Amino acid sequence: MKKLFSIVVSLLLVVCLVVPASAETTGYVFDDANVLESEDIAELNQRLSLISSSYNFETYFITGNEQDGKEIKDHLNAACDTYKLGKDDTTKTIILYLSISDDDYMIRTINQEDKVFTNAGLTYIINKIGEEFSAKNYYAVAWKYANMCDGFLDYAQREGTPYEEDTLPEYSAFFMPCVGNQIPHKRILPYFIDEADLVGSYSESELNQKLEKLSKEYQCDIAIVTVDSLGSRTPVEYADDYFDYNGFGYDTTQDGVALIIGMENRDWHITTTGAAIHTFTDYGITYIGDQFVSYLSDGQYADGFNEFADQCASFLSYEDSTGKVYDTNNKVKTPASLEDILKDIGIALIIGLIIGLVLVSRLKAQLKSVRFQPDANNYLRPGSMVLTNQQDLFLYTNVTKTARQSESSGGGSSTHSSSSGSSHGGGGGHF
Amino acid sequence: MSELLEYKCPSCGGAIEFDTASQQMKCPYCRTEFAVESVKQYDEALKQQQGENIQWNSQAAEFISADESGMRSYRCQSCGGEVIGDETMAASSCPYCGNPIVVIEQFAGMLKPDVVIPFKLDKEAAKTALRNHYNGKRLLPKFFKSENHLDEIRGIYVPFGLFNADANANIDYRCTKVRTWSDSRYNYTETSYYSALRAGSLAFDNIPVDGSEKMPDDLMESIEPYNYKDAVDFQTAYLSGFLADKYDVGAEESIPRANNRIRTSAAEVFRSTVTGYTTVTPTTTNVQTTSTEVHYALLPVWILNTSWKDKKYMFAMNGQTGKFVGDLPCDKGLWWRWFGIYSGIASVIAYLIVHFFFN
Repeated sequence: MKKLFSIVVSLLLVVCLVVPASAETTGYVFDDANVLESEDIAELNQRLSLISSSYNFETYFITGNEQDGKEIKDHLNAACDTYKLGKDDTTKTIILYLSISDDDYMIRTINQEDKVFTNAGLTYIINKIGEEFSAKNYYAVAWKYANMCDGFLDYAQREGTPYEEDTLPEYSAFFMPCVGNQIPHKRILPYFIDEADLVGSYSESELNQKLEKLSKEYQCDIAIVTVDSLGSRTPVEYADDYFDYNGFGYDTTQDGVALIIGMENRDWHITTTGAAIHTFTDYGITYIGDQFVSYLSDGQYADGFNEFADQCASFLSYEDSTGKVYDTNNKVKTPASLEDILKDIGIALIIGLIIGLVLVSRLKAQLKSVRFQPDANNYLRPGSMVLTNQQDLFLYTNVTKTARQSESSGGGSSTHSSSSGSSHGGGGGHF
Repeated sequence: MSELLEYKCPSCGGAIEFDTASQQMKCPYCRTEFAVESVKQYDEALKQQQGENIQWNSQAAEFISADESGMRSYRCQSCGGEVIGDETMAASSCPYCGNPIVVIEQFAGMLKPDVVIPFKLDKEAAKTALRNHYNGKRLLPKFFKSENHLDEIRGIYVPFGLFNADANANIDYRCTKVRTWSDSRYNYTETSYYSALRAGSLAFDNIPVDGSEKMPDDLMESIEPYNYKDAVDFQTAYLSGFLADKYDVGAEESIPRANNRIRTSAAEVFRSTVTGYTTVTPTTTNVQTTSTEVHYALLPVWILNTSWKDKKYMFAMNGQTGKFVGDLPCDKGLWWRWFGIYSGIASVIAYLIVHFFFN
């Protein structure tokens, strides 16, 4: 008996060990096409799981690579059968199916009587993940899908009505999660996003390429996003959250710097993470702000963003080459503008003229020796001075005090924690 | 009736003069020196000798007329030449024979000087001092030194009133003591206000005030001070060889000037007794002066008149101490050149400092 018992237990153990290892399928993510890494899958699963349970609406993500010549619809049906999805009449379900072999993808909803996802809504979602799909960035596809589902479900829950054709928002509505605070460990959005439509499409793609190139070069994500409204968040919160929840922070180093533009109140804010907190000190942020804000104020947004990118690159390059960062005790050396030089010369000239005048007047005074004697000190009879009355009377006292200037900050970077718990630096202003 | 006085050398009979170097009477002809007293006695003896031929009496200079300009003419008893002098001139030299003459009448019935400080320095010393006066004056026009033409050099005894006065002062001051300290949050300034009173008296002796109207007062004050130790009782003998001016500024006119100087000195002296404060400001100054004595003195001054490029310059040297004064012209070109040089260097240094320390 004992022997039999131990054999059964060990068999069970083996099964338990082997079975999970072979099947790359968990809960809500079925990566049959093997395009995602296990880390990605676990992460996405956590996200979709939370969404599903929060809204009572099962959200699935499936990838397939069936090479049998059938249509994508058939492939999806097959997958649903395999995983027993939508087999009852009550479970509300949404599935995003990526067919790698067909180079196509589709979304199916099941049992949603009070529609959360209208046709317009589904079309919207399809459109928003098109680019990432074409770029084969399936990780980003999955995350964006998850975020949009979250957003749609949240809206339907709050407003009691789904997104319709005319109420569909800009994608910026889906930047931040509505449930949970999970941070994707890889970037899911492009470096440059222009939701507020401040630059033309040519500049947009140019900036995107530039930021991507610089981010790779310095191993630090440099991102820019423009939105119409920051919603209920302050610029600091928005910048931090945008950065965190969209997976910014360079791959290996998790360093990053991002610029957020909120047009509603004309806010700009820069957020930093990782080593970039040290690179971009409070002084540095203020300095960079001074460089590009005037462009923004003048409406020359493309120039302003280019300036921001260039400045970030210059700061990072400076640190790479010298190991030092720009701070209050090591200010950025601008070549003296003509104005500055002229001002210096002007001051020096005035001082020089005054000193010259004083010295030459002394020379001139040498020439004059005839003057009235103002006093008769030479004729004072020595010892004749008699003080008959000497009185020193105290009248009153007056004390004034002035507040001392607080010592100017010694530089460095001030940091704070964002809603996701990560540490950020940065600063901002208006334009 | 004015009289001109000439002293004769006991040795050779020539006209004897007062010599500054030796402080005695010296004959320029035979170079013998005599004490002033001796000459005087000899002179008196001489007069007695002459008998009815007392030259003194017959030497009464002919008085021609006193016209409005105050000029008078005298006849030199040595050569008979006529000497013109203005009213205040008391001693002069005959331009013809060079004999020194002393006009006695200036002193008769008028203010006779109590003391005189005899000349210690001679004409050569004055000329040398003039040349030295040019040295080290960077803005002096280049050719002034060489082209400046000495028109006239005169040794004059200038009449001064020497005033003794007592001054009573009563001065109020407003004073403050300021204390500052700080703690971590504030800088504090404590100002304590005081009222200080000082009253007392001072005495002044021998404040000189120029008694000659035509002698510029500021010029005379510039060559102060004189050392009264050398003052001697007045003897007309000292005057020979030099000119002397007469008093035409009365004591009443002079006193205000003396009082001004007294006031300034009193204010300074009393101010120096107010110590221990951060700031001191006099609020009421009250100085009363009472003149106690006046002495009249003749003080030695060398006056040099020069001209250069049609401009006249007047220099004065204290005949006792050698202090030399006189305003010199300023070369505008040099002024600008030195201004440029100093400004240029200062500007460059200022620019370097501004550039390297403030950027």
